[in-house]
Amino acid sequence: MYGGDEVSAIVIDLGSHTCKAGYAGEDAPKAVFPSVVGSVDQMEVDNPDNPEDNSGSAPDSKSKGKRRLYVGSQALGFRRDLMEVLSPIKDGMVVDWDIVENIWDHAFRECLLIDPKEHPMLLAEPCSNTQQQREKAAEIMFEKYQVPALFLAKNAVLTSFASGRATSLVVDSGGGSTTVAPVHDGYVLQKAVATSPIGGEILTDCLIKSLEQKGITIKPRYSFKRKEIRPGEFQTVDLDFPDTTESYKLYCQRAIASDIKECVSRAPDTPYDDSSYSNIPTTSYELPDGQTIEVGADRFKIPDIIFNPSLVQTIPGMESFAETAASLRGLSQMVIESINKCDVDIRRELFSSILLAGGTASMQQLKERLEKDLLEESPQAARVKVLASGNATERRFSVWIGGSILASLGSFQQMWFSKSEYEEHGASYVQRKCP
Amino acid sequence: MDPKRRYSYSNLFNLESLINFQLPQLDDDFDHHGNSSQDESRGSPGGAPRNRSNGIMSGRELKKKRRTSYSSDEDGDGDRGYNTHISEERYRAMLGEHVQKYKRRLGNSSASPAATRNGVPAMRSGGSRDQKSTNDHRGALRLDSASEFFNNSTQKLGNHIQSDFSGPYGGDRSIYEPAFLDLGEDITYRIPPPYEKLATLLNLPTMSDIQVNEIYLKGTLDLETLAAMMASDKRLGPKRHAGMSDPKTQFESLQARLRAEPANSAGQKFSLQVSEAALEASSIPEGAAGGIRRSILSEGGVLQVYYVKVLEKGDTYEIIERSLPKKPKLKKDPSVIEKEEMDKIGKYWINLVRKEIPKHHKIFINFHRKQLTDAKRFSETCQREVKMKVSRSLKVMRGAAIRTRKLARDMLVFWKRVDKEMAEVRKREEKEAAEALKREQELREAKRQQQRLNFLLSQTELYSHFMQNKSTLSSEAVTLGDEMTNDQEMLLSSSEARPGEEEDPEEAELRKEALKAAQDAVSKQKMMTSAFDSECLKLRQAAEIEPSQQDAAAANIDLLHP
Repeated sequence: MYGGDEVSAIVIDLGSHTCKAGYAGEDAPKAVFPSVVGSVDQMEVDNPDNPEDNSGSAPDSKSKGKRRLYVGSQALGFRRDLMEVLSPIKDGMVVDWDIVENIWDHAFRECLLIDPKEHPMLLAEPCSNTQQQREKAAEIMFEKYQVPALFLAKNAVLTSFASGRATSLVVDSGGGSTTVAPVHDGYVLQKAVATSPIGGEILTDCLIKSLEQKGITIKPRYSFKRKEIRPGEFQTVDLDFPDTTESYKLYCQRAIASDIKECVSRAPDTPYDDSSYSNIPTTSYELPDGQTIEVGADRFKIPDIIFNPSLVQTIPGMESFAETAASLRGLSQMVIESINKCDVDIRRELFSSILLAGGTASMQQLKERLEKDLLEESPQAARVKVLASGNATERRFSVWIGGSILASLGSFQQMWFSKSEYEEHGASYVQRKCP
Repeated sequence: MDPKRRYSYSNLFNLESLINFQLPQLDDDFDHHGNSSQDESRGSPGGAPRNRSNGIMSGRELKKKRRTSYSSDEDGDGDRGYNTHISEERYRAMLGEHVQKYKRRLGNSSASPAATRNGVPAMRSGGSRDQKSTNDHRGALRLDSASEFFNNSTQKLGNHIQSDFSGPYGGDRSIYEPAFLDLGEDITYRIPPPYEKLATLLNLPTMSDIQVNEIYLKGTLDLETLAAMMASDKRLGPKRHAGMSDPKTQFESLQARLRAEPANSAGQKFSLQVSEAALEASSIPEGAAGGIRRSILSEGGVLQVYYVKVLEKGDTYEIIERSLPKKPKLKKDPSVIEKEEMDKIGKYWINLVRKEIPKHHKIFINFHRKQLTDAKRFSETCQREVKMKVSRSLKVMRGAAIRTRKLARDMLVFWKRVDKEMAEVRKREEKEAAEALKREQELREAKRQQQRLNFLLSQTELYSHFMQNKSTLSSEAVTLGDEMTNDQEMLLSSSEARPGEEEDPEEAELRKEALKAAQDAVSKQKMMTSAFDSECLKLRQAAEIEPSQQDAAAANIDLLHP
């Protein structure tokens, strides 16, 4: 039992795309940075980079073993020779705890400027987190950071809390995956959780590929110089960095493409088909190199992949994903199936409180489209209601906000898994303490 | 060995057989268990719960402690054996106790079972002070039960009755029973083989014997009853002695007992000896530390284990100080603990989720909304402030144009005025200059006229003077003074008035002559004057050209230097 709410807790939501960290009780995370890291093999380079860069990124980078890791959007924004971009998370599971530790370190020491010894930590975890993963997380938190107390809460539960509900169906469409999870009385109904790998990143990749098909290449910002030769007139000079890794290039391209996606795309009201959207008015977008592109049908086609994964097959260059996509179900089917796996008693309630959360879910018109699709497919008696917060920030950070609400509850303070309990019972006690 | 002697009446009260009895098994306790379990199994449906509580108790208790706890004023007879390790005596005592227990169970009033419980009775009835009444009660009950058994000499029947009896007291019994049963051991209690079996094995008396024996013992022991008993069942002999202590319970106090004792038969005495010895050996010394565990039934009907300190001890009563034991640590199965904990956490979680979350969410949303509105208000205020500042500067800016225009106009007006003034001044100056010139000219003219007049006058006077001298020589004078005629005429005209006053014909004559001469002179003068005039005119014309040239030069200079 941990009885101190005098020091505010820290809430960390390490997603597949972005890591959100901040103080409990606030309405938005203080630190939001990509949850990927840049890694440079120490064997190859002993950073002969300019000194001011070294001083800037030195705290972020931890030389563990042979590699040096760069965490945070600033450190990643700087191109380095042979820097690979790595993600600690694969299919929703942490595969590289070393990277995770670096990310946590960055969040604590760089972004929040706190001593983890003094703050209880609330970690958000994926719904289908395994026992080993939870124990490992608890172990690192207690052993390495010596946190006074810890709590692990499921993403879906926190999202549900963020909208003040104990029972709801959470549709969390994030960077790496989309998860549909029914939550009842603060517990995720594990049996009915549906997951699909279609997330923001897949959509971004699809957008890049389909733009490439039209002859548009997105030039990463580092690959050219742009200067104003006359007022209002710019000249771009391509630069060549042969040592840039493919993953870093992709990372930069994705950053731009995801911005295009967020700016122009919009979920279509009806299922997408090429013919009816062939002469849709285009929307222009100016790339960083000054090139202006016109996005037409892709505006609607890309978001529709969420509802109809088989569309991926029509995009050239996505063949690697196309096979898996064929077996995936659309978002509305996932919702229906998930609800049908639940107890009959709560189905009605679930139908009437479908919560949209996550970055991808903040796409325009997604809520309306999902509601419309569900209305068609749901049983007559069900009253379908898709709920999504009005502003995009709240939708993007709903998991974190739920954590913030939970950790700031006065009566929650005795639910913490405290350090002394960890010392007495070991890491496996987390299974009991954190439902 | 026992049985043989049992049948002889003379042996009846001789406990030798029992004392000499060799332990049939190494584990005395086990044997004992056998008995007790037998009791219990017979005892009836209440068995299970009893057993359980018993188990707990036995588990906790130390052998020694338990022993002492069981030893009591009245039941002490068997307890001596406890002190020595495992001895015959002990065995015997235990046997006796069992018998007692069994009997008590049969007796089965709420009071009677307690009696066996080593001095519990006093406490059971709600405190040591009550002892007397309870003793009475108990005694009565015991007698009842004894008589009952006596009547139904078949133990089976008695058993049944007992179970009937137990009906109303069921609860009590189930609570008390275990205590008896766990007499066995701190070794885990097991349900042992039926007593009957053991009895045959070990040559113990059968159930029926025991019962009868008990009953018999309970009553004040007299030979008659004994004989009756023997008649009904011969085998109960030695058993009786084991339970010997019971009769004492009848007595209200030690004194009563002492008084009663002499009346008892020899057998009784013998039993007493045993019991006394036991008492000496293992009873609780008065004022012992409160380390004795006892189960005490409170008035509320709750059986609770107390640590008891015996302050005073009588045969049938005990003054004790009791204290609640420290809560024993529950050593539960880890899985049970886990389950319970998870249940607890789960319950708490659900409560939190159901009640707290929506409430707090509302607070959060309100806070958020408030923050938003605050931010909005703040920004609006900022906007207004900035706008005000900007508008002020804007006003200044816009005013600048107007002001400059106004300024320019003012300047224009000013300069116009200045110009006008200057022009006026110049005009005035010019006028003044012109006037001055004119005045100068006039002055000069006047001066010239004056000069001319003076000249003329002087001429005239000269002429007149001349004429005066030349009056005779008039002709000459006339010719000579031609030039002076004008002046003379003027003088004449002026002088004529005077002559007019004193006209004289002579003078008229003269005057005619003068006139003639004057006329001549005038005509002469006129001619001279005209000649002078023409000459003068010529001179003036020449003089006038010069000033005009000077004027032109002045104009030139003016242009150059305004």
